[in-house]
Amino acid sequence: MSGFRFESVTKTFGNEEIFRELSLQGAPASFLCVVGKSGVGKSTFLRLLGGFDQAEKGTITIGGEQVTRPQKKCPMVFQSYEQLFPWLPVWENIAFPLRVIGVDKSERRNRAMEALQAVGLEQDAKKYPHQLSGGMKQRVALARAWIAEPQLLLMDEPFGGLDMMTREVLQDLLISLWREKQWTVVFITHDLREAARLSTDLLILRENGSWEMKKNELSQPRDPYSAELNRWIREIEL
Amino acid sequence: MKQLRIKAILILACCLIWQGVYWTGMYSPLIFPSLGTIVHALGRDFVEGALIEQFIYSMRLVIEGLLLSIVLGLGIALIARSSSVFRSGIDLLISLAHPLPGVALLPLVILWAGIGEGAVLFIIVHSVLWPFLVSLFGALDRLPQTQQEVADNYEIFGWRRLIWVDLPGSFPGFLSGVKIGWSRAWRALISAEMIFGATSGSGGIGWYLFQKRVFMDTAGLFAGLVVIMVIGILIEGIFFRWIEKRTVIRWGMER
Repeated sequence: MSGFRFESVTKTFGNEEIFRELSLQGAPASFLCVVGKSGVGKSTFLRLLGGFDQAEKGTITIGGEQVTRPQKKCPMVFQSYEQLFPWLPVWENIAFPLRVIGVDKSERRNRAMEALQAVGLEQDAKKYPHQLSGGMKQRVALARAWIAEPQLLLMDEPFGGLDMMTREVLQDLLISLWREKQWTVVFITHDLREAARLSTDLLILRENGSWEMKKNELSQPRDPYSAELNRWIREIEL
Repeated sequence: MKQLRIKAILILACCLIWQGVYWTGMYSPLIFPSLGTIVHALGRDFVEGALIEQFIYSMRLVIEGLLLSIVLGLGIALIARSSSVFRSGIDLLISLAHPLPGVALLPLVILWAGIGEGAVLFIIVHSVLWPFLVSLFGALDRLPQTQQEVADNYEIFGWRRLIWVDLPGSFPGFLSGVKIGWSRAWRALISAEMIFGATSGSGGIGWYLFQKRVFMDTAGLFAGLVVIMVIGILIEGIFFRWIEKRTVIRWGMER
């Protein structure tokens, strides 16, 4: 896993300045949740870090290397279900990053089955994405990112379109995978309760281009409805 | 199954109307033969082997032309995906060449390539390539942005991107391009054969039709038309449907 750093990053859309001289860093194996109102630049932050967009000024580095384009060591899990390839069965979707680097088919299948087991979908390996529910599709996307052995895992509101119960199940799954693998995770959400449950660090982006970093030292395991967690949420000003 | 039954009833109704018109004696049997005469002509030419030979010859030319167009189209798409200048040039070429009927090019083709198989293939490729490219480019341009970003994320580029991501992602458009190409290829072949005549051996279905008209064998002419229609039904309704079931329908990508 790798840490990351933003150094004096400025990003504008037209005349609107999304970030001005943004400088911050994420430690290796940290879980940074990015929150803020709609339009403050949460997804832009993630897209810059992932190399999908470029900043006008400043540098972004991951593990000391400057980000210039998307890289397979920093896989992104998107909110859109279109991130899965509909023509590939579940196991081949998951094994896609291995196919790209030339891993042979039997090895790909074995590792995909291992990842499927980790996300609880071993019975669905041969199904196609359109045969899965929204929650199952996001599990597949998570397994695909997992198999890529990420140095930095980027997640853009991955559970945004799911019902509350499915979200909590997937949050538990993500926490256990993160603890086991010690990934560095950057997770965008508009749900403060989700951020409170998952994060070690919280980045709050605000409309005027200002931002605030906050440590989350709530004790583990975190009950999403505990008084302690509710108190922590109330302290946050968006 | 219900649809198949409806189609069968419609065909039967058409046959009955045809035979009914024949029985009224409104038209001379020379220009409006009975169903029995058409079936007899069909059987006769099949048994004698001429129709089978001509059918195989035409099918070979159509398949060759179609495959050549698909390969050319994919090559063009690959380059166009990586060069916007090339893509603009191809777009211009498509807008110029697509509306141009293959038959309009015949005088030029005869001058350039003579009247052999090469000339027929040229006409077929011209008739197939442009609509195929329109369909393929349309589908490629509509590929979901998220899928493209996933491909960028896993650093897959060039021909691997085309084969592994872009082509399967645009497969409904690709398949519809091939279907359009198939019917355009048939039309081009029949027209070219009727104008060029036999380009080799006993010629193809177009030449068969031409001969039947010249010798006033109207039943044989209709037999040729029946063969063309049956091939159309088999390819469209069975072969392409079979491919669709194993691809776009299985993948949940049908529109």
